[in-house]
Amino acid sequence: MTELSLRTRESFDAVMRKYADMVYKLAYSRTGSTFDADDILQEVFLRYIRADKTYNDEEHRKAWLLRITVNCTKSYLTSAWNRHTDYNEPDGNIGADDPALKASETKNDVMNALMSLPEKYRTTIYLFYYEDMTVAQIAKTVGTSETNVKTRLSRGREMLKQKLEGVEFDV
Amino acid sequence: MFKEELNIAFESVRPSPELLDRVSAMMSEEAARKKPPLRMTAVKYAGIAAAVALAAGGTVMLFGSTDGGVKTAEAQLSASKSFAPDNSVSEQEMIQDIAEAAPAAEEAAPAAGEAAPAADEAAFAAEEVAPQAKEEAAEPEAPPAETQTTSAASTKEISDEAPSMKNTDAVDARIMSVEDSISEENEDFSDDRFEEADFAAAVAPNIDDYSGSAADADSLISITSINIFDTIPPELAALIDCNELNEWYGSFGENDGTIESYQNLYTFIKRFGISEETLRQALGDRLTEEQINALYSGTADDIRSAFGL
Repeated sequence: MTELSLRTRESFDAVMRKYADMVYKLAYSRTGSTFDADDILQEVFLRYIRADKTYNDEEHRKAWLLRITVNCTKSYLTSAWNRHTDYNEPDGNIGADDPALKASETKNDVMNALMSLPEKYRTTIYLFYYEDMTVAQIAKTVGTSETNVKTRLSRGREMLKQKLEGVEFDV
Repeated sequence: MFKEELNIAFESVRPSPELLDRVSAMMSEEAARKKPPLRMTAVKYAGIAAAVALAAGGTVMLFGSTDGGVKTAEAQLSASKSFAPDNSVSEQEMIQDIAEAAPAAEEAAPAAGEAAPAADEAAFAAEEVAPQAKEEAAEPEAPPAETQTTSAASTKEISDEAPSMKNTDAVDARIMSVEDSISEENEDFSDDRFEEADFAAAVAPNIDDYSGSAADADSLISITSINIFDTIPPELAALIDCNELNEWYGSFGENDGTIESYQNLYTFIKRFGISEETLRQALGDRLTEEQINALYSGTADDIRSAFGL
């Protein structure tokens, strides 16, 4: 079976449902807004279907989607409207109807602490700790050097330590 | 540990099922509209172009070459569509015709290639006879001479009838400019899958594989690449609960190439027990009898054959 036919065997819809969570969470972690995350999710998968790319494997597809998500959120973050909007606090919609979240102060603490970081630290921390990406992968995804990523990780951790008492980092 | 806490914090950050359905519908719509460009270099695929013209009921003029092969072919579709000024056919329409006739072209291309040397020989023979013919008939446009100077004559002929189709280079240049604009749009993520060398293997087989073909102002020659078998249409997906549907989508492992190993109409019908009647109501106008029969009473091979997999 050729690579092209393999690609067409993969339902676009199946791919969307498989990666929607990942795209949405990254979009939210970068914008701090569920509304923007909604828009970005749509935009990312529209770009996905329009690009109609051939992927070497699932990792390749995942990396591409993450990169597109970062690019899409960049557009949102640099838009005239968003330049004047404070994203330091997550909006109140996240988990508003989730009793488990309400019950857990830890969730809100970590979320608030993360979302209070400047965007570049927030994204780096998120990709490293949540998506389990390596420094090299993050550098490629966000379009910066590995040294920059390491610096951002280090500074991000320091900032989080100040905000979250007793937080421990694996790395 | 921060990692665990972060996981917990993001647990509830997820798109709503309604949003997923909306995106799904949007993607289906986009997929239906999507027409990836079929890239054709006229010179390289002269055999195909010539066969297309034949398939369209037109005439083909073969250019003789020193190595006995076919260098270029000017496809003249005048038999099916007139290039007369009062009923002129645009370059785009002509290329659309080529796209529609492409499957036949694919089959006829080898024959055209094989016929080329014979055509060359005929041209050569005609060339030898030409002076005699000229003397006897005293006609400046004797057939042998025309054959000998096919390039100039045919170019002139086509130029007179369809100014936009002066020669294949012009078409090629137009196609390449469209390719350039497409690649600029996707600059960051462009890939090599449509390299010319892979053209026949990667693109041509799909001409037969997928239902429907179309062309518009955005793509000179195009085909739709989404097979209905591989996409669960929204009208069918709407019959199933979102959570169940998501669970089903996530239940597949690696696609090993068998029909049962990935999300498609067959596995969807099996999993959710969609009856033939329900399927007909939802998708009756988009599926043929053969496809429906194959889904419900055929073997995997029948299904592959019915859907052109």
